[in-house]
Amino acid sequence: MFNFSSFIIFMPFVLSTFSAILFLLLQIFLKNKYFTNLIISLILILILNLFIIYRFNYSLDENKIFYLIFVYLCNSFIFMNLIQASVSSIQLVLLKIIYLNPGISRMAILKKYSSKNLFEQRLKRLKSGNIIGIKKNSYFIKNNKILLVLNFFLILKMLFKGTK
Amino acid sequence: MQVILNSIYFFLLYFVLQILIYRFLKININKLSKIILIISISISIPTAFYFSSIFSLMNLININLAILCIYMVMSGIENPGSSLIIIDLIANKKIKRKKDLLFYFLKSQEGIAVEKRLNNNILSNFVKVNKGKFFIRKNSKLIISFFNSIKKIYRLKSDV
Repeated sequence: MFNFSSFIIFMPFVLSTFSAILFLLLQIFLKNKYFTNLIISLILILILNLFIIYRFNYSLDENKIFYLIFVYLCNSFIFMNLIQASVSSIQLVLLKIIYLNPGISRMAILKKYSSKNLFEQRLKRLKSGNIIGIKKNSYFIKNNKILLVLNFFLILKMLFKGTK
Repeated sequence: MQVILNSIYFFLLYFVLQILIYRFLKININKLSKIILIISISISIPTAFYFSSIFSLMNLININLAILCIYMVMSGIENPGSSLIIIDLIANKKIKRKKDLLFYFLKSQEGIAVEKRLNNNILSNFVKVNKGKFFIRKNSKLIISFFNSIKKIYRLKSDV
């Protein structure tokens, strides 16, 4: 019998599926950057999640509320990583190069995709994403929110490796 | 409060343990995380069925998802993204010109990022090397087609 407890257990997974579908629809119908669409879809479904919690408030204890929010956030983080990996994973790019050119040598791989290429691509992407800008041949940070991500990773790196 | 406290305790304990193991024992956390995740999932499923309690099930799902998320964050610490290195150079090191950015980028650990990832592919058995020539393994084809389908479904543009 499908009872209320089962509903709670499956709810965040169903909502994550909804956010994946919403992201697909936004990708088809809106001309935004993929990352903007991804964030919009995840936030909209999070709001839906909070609305469901509010509606069923009388039958939910704090454990279930925590579970609903925590699992949805974890699923969103995993989905975001999956999307990001298919866009910018270096390891995946190298696998594709080898797949498309079987028997390729190390030199040829590095010629096709070197650290210099990587730098050019990332600089281009940062510029097109309005994260950095250029003024009189000088680059500057346009979107300061990215500094939060940078500082988060710098703090973690300091904790794990002891260096910045 | 039982599920909340258990999840928070587990998260903190697991995170601190990861820091200590990485910093003082220099153990490859990612490999360890894979093993922990496999053990944790294989214990969780029978346990959840045995207890048939919603609270234990919620705890176990939370714990497994926390392990998976920390695993993903760890790979970001091990291999920081090239974009973050560029942002760090501009924001913190105050390097503004493209020529200088490229110089310091190549001097940083991302300067050997491609070689490092190529070696990772070999170590992870994704590719095989025969007389200096690189070939893809069968399971890697599945990974490529999985990510290709994500790319096609969501109309994403990647580097290649």
